[in-house]
Amino acid sequence: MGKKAFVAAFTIFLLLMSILSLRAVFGPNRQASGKLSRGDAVGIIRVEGAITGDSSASWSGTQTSTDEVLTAIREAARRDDIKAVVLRINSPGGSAVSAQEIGIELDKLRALGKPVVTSMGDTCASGGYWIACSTDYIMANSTTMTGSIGVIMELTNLEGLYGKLGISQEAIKSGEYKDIGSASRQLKPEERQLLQDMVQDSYQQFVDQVAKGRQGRIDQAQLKSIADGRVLTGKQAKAYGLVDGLGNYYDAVREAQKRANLDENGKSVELGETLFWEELMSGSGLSSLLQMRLGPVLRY
Amino acid sequence: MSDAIYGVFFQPAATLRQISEDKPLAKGLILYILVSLLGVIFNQGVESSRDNSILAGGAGWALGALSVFFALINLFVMTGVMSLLADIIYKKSNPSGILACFSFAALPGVLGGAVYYTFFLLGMEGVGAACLFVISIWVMVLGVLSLRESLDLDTGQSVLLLLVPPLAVFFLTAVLLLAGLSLAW
Repeated sequence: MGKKAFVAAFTIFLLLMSILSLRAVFGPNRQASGKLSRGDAVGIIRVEGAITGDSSASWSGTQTSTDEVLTAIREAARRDDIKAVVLRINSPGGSAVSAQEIGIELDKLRALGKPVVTSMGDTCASGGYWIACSTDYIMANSTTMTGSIGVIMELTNLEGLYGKLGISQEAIKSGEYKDIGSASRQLKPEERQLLQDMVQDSYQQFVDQVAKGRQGRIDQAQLKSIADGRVLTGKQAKAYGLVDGLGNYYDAVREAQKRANLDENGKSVELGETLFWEELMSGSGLSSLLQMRLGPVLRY
Repeated sequence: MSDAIYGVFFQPAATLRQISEDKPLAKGLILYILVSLLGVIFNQGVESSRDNSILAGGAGWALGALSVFFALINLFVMTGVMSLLADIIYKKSNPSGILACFSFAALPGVLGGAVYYTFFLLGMEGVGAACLFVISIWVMVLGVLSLRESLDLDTGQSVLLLLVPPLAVFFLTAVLLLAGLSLAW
């Protein structure tokens, strides 16, 4: 082989492989997420830790950001190869709004004809359970902690501490209730009533969500009797009708495959892009320290 | 240029000697950057085909760009270190020759990524990994030849020169570890 022929062959080989590589990365068979489509699959979406609307939450590794989950759900909706979704929840709950937002997006996904199955991990309580109610089937382990249907708003009164430190806070406000929940003073009875009404309204929405999601599987009277914030094991929850079946993650994947008429040995794909640095930083707990809040926040 | 590319593969010693004399630095650096860039592209192809959402995404490209940058830094640092050591140990110096030779010696490395990706697509990842290993050894041998030809050393001296930095790091680490352990006790 002559020199020029070798260099030409070498260059053509490299060019060909580069084109194939770039095609794998940017080509038409690539989905919006940046993943190749190689047959139908079950999409896996993970909800780990407290659910929060803070988009930087994933940095902590102990919280799930709503944005992250919503993006993953939308990816599942967009991708033709994703025929069903398993929502792996290991969360004690979190922001009421976040749970609601995720629930709404899951309803839209199901409306597209893609079944969604919940797989409960150690805990799937409160806001986590709200989300689970927007899925077609709930699979729990018998010892999973679930339930906790209720709403809580916690306020901190630091008036005594401020007094000891000689700190007095002045509020210049445009309306009577603008500093409602201020940490520098006792809550007034009418303020307490306002907040209680909010909590009750949110609670009613929660109960309605469970009633809608578990329609035909739990009756209203029974739901009312257990919707007092109590925590249940997966086994107890199954007996009450809050859960459809007992089993682990793989049983949930199998259930999703069955519902989407997929092969038992079919593949499953993690949805939602996690940045390398997020993975690297996960578990640091740094941002969870930065995200500490004082003030009224509704939590499920 | 085609003579140099062909020569690195089939007549490496003579070609590297010629390169160390001619010192085509600009061509060498462009070639080195191209080799590094192609490596990143092949790696991204593999990660995408693996459905690796972490390394196939934007973070993968960012890491790739960083790896090209650090490969370039590494080339200059290695050249500097080798040149310094050669001057100290053998009283010989040819920094620009070493730089040019090292740049061209990295050329077969691009085959590593391409061949690995070819076998990966054929479903023979193990064969690809074996080829990658062999090509890595080949590139190391070319590194030795680069030093030998650019500094006019014999093969043993070149190997020793190439081994001095990792050996020094190894001994320093061992000494520091022992010192740390003795302090802990």
